[in-house]
Amino acid sequence: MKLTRDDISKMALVSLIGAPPIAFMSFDFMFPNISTPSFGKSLLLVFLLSVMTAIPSGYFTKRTDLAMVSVFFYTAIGYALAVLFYSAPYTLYDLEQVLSDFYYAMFFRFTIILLWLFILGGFMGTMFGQVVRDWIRREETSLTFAEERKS
Amino acid sequence: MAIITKARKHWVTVTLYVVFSLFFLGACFVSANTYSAIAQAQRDIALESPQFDAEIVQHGHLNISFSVQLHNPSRYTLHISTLSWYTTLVNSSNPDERIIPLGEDYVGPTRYLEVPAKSTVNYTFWAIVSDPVTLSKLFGFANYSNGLGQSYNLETLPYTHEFTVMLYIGEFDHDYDREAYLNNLVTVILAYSSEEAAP
Repeated sequence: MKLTRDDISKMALVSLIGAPPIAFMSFDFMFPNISTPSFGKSLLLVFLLSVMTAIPSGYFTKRTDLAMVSVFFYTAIGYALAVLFYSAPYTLYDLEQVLSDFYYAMFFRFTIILLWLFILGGFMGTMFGQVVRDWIRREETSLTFAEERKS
Repeated sequence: MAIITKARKHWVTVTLYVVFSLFFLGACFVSANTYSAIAQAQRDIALESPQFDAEIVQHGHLNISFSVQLHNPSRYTLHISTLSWYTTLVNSSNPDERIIPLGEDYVGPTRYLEVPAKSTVNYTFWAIVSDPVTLSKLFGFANYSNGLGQSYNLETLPYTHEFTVMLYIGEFDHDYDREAYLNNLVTVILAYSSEEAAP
């Protein structure tokens, strides 16, 4: 199917707006004792928030395939943002870093499991968002017909 | 554009989504800022100006003292978990008693000592050596050294001072069982040894 300009802008917007929760969850999972607020390494909360993050993707995007691709996009952007925040002391504050390979490997090692939750939760959230949208449309349609019948 | 028209139509949902996103973006910045401040604190908290002295006091007893400053330039209060100091004399010529213990001090977590944010705290310790057996060992060491050409008396003997302090930064959790890196993140361990000269 053809990808319209409207689809691309919608996906881009959803990817940008959906990225911060992913970034925060990744960072918080790495440092639950210093982040504000903190989920305390609770995978259930991470999963629920992943579902919530993806709901608008399904709600605003009619095509399911594009909504699901948006999930991949915002997860990638969010994870990249998390790496940036993770490296903040060494990039912004000029602190000396020892074993930088190990430093970043540790981040990927600790948070890799979250990527599965983000994607899985994202797909479920997308479907839930579409169900909500369809339900609202059905209600709107039935209300419109009911008003027409009355008049 | 169609997307703006659609966003206007669903303005409540879009606003909620943007607020939801901005909240987490703000949380990211706050958390990264905290992380950076902690990393800076780990780098900047230091022991400064260590000084030690030995002098003969009343009744020929020996007073050995040590002082050191703990500099905390960070924005967090430091909570002292353990703090220990001990002073000894290393007597390499005696294989049976190579180390002569002279004094020690220890502070545990139940004392709840703190180092306020952006401050420097001075710690002073002293030990009075009055035990005749220990004093005779010190005299013996000085006399033995004098025989080898080293001129020592009780006040100039090469006493060693070992000082270690373990601190927790702020009120952050540091009692994880499995994730030791989280405990290490907010724990500062500083040590000074007069044998290694610089703190």
